[in-house]
Amino acid sequence: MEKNELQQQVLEKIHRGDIAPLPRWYFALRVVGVLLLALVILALAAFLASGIMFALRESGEQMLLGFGVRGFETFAELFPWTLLAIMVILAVVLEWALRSLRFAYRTPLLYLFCGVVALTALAGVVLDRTPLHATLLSQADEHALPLLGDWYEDVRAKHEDKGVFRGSVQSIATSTFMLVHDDRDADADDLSHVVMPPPGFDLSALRVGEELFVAGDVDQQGVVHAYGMQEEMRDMK
Amino acid sequence: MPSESDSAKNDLTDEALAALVQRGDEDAFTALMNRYQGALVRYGRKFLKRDEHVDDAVQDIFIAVYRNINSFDTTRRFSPWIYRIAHNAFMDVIRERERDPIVLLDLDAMVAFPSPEPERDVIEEERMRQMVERGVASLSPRYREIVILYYMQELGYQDIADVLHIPVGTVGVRLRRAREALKKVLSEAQPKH
Repeated sequence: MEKNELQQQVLEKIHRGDIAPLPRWYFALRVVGVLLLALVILALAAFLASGIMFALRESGEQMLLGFGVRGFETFAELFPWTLLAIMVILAVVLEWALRSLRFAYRTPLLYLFCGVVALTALAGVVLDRTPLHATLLSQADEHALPLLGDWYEDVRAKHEDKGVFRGSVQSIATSTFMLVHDDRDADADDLSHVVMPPPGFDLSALRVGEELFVAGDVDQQGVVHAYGMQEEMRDMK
Repeated sequence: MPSESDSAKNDLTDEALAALVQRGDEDAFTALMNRYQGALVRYGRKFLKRDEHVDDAVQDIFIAVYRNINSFDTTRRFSPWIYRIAHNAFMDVIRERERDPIVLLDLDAMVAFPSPEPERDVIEEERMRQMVERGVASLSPRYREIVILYYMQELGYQDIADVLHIPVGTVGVRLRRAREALKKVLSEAQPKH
């Protein structure tokens, strides 16, 4: 077969052994590698997504969404945006990892991204239904979780500076009640607050020992003027 | 003078030749190089500014084809596969040697556009091919490449989508924009009477 100069050069490289076909297993391994990488990224992103859901529920901060505009503002202030940003970055990396696959590059970028985010959220919801985070939180409480311990302990951190209180009703007076902060750990850092419920709230409905999530402003006497109050849905799976 | 085995190879499809290369048939690889060298050089010349870059790039393409031949699925078409390798090689040259900016965020590929592939119209395509010959150098690389693949290399929307790794709908949209850009460039270049 006739060969021109360019072809001769390529064939010489083949004859010299400079180039050789890569084996089939190399390409199979590469696809497996991409899929494994995608799976690991998805697992990490799902872990973060479920972590966000768990933190919002465990801290009670999701209740702020039911407390009107102020509650929404406080929710936005306390939301773990860094985790969400990491999750979005992981979703972008996952999309990039999948782009070498035919189904992915044939799908418009925006749709693929939405699909990846939806898949991550779904996997997060599934993970959130397992006892994983509650178990890790218990380990963190016992200081037996070295890597993520601080983050799990922060889930129950006080946010009094943001006007957010959580605890159990210790006593009830005529127009106020005493709330004892409970961060559900063994530390002796629990404080009590006098809380004035929102206007129109029926104090007789309260029971001593009831666990409440309260959002309000603290006056100079240390009394919390609540704009939102809800019974806590404690969810220790 | 071509041997009997050469002419037998010439009758084979690209995919059959690729299957032979996978089994170590060097003549089949030469036949593939013969078949694609001219087209790849023409493709590269429309793409790259300097001829020596084109020859280097085409050699790199054949080397990449040989190295990666076992990743080719012989049940699929060979031409989009080799043009994908060519696309990557030319992009590398543009990035490294000719230092042209390459768009990283592809807005055309963000959402789906309903853009079915039209029936090929021989007369219209010949007219467009002449326009592409005259004005393609003035187009940006992303438009330049798609008109070359469609009008010069005669690939369909599906194949172009596989070469450029973009959705099929985006192929139609980008081709339409490329045609508009080309017509604008050529009408501006025409002497006014």
